[in-house]
Amino acid sequence: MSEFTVGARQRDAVSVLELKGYLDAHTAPELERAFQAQLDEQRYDIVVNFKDLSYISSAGLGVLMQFIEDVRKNNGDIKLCNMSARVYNVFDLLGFPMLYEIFDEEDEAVKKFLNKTGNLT
Amino acid sequence: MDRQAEHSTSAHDIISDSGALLELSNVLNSSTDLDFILGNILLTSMGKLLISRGVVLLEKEKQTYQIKSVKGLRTDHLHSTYFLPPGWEHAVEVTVLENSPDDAIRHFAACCRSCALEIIIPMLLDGRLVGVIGLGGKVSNKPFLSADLTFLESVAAVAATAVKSALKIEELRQLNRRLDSKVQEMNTLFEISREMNTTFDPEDILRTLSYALMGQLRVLRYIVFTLENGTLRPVLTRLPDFVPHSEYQRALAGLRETLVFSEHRVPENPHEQWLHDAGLSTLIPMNTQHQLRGVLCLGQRIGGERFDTSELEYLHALANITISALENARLVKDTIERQRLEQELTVAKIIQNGLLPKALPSPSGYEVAAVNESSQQVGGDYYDVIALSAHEYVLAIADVAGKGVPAALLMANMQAALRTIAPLRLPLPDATARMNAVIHANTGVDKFITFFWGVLDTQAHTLSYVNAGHNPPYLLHADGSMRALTEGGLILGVLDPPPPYASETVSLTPGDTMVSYTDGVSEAMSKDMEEFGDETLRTLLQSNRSLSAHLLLESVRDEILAFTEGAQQSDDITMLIVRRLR
Repeated sequence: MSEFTVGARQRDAVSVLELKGYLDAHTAPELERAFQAQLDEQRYDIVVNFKDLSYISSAGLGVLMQFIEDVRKNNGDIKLCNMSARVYNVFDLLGFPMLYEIFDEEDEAVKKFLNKTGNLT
Repeated sequence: MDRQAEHSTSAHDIISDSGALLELSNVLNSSTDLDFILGNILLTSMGKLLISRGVVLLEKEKQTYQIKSVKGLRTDHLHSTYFLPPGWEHAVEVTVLENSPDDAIRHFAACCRSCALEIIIPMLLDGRLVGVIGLGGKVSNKPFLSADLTFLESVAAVAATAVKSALKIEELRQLNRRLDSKVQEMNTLFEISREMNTTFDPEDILRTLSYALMGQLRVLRYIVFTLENGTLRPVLTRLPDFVPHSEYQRALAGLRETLVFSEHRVPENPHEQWLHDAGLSTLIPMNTQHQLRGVLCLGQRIGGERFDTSELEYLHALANITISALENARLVKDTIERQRLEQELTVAKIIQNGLLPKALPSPSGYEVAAVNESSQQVGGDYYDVIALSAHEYVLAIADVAGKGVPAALLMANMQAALRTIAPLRLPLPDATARMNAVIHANTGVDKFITFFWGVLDTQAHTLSYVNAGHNPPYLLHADGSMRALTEGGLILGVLDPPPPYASETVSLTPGDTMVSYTDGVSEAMSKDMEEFGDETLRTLLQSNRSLSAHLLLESVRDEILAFTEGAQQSDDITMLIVRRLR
């Protein structure tokens, strides 16, 4: 039941984490490690793609909360995309849309980061 | 306004009005989105009558009306709610309202005037005022005609019905959402219970709690204290710059119910103030069986909203599930630890029993008796009797420092050394130095052995011995005199090379008895934590000196049993007794 994997890839300076399967308190440490790995590499522009995520519990949101301060302190952000209605509903119920930018498509989320760096230079 | 005075309403206008109303009615009834409905009401009215600004207020609670939709104007001059008395039936110009005897209406009219609203149309449902539409003047600056007002009243009537349906649906939607939220909360609680019940690792349990606090409740600052040996200690901290301080003890230890700091409940003492200043605003007791076992302290949540009653109840459940899981984990750990210790002691006992001689030799003309009773913790007592020749026997008794398996292993080491060195028939002081070298090489500085050994010659009737720091054995003479066998040197294993050992040879006459023992005998404890004592032992030995070795051993053991009354002993009780018969 608790099958969950995280894939990580780079799109320019932006890290994309692809979540797959069932994210709950039991599998959340896996996501925690994936985030920690990005922070260890000092990558703070992170897009989380939920395309293949079938279920999320509040524990999964807990992981996002755990890292958001660190990431933003380093001028980065965690942006979310490609959520199914079921997954979005959990974010919505727990009041997360006001804390995170949520995009329909990964491209939009990545572009938002790239524009940011463009403005800085 | 005198509507009879107007004659300009043509048939064409009426048909056009009816068309617009029909269209509006169709549009409104096809939607349940309140914003869309209100926006359409304004846009239809403004479009039809060429008006540039409008606002809709809906009843929020009894006779209090709230701005819900605005077009073409800034709301700077408007309050968010207005009190409006009942009794409105028709559209009315703001000028009229400004002259109302009612203060509330005049106040409302003044605000409308400041936003350049000129006409107010009541939205009535079964005669009840459910809202009002406010509109600016016509862009053409022409006055409102009677037909315009009729049209607007019709719009308001259509709007009232649509708004009512939309509100009902909105209400259902919100109920649904609340239900969804509850389901979500319950899911989290179930998941946490499941997760916490499948682990006995406190770290896993606390991590699950962390996820719930951050993910379900959006709290990023928290500390969990749990009670350990009567003191609340932080076991999970997510609070930058938190410096543990004894002040929290006093504030938390007496916590009976959830405490939320607010303007209504400010910190009442320095301890509470300290917690408050550390950024903690919600303190939730963690109880098992109505006993405070810990405290969950939370900072502000992201977004800043307070916890409502249902969220506090939820947190309470979360706190209690967590502390139960932590307590269970502790009990399991204790049980495993105890089982492990018991197993270790069993192993130690097996080793020790294997090292003690199975049967004692019977030197001619002498009687040998020995006993070893292991305590609960298995001390490292040892005795041995080894025949060197038909008339020479090595007698040894030792107490290895420490308990359990480590002591048993060191004892095995010593037994091997003894069995190897004894047959070499070296002078006793040299042999003892060799024993010391072996033990020293195999132990750390904190491990040592008190050791007494001697060679009994049953032809010469002598006992040559070396006492390496062991409780001195007693030599009981038949004539009632007794002496302690103290000649020797340093305990084994501490220093290599040791200062030279001394030895002594004593003669044994018929009826003489040598009693060697370990400190488990002289230090046997009564229930009142009193020691058996050397003096008691000496008196006992002296008065029983004529008994056989076996009976003397029995009498000492009986005396100790009577003294300790079954109190658990921390050390082994070991004795080795040799008596010359003739």
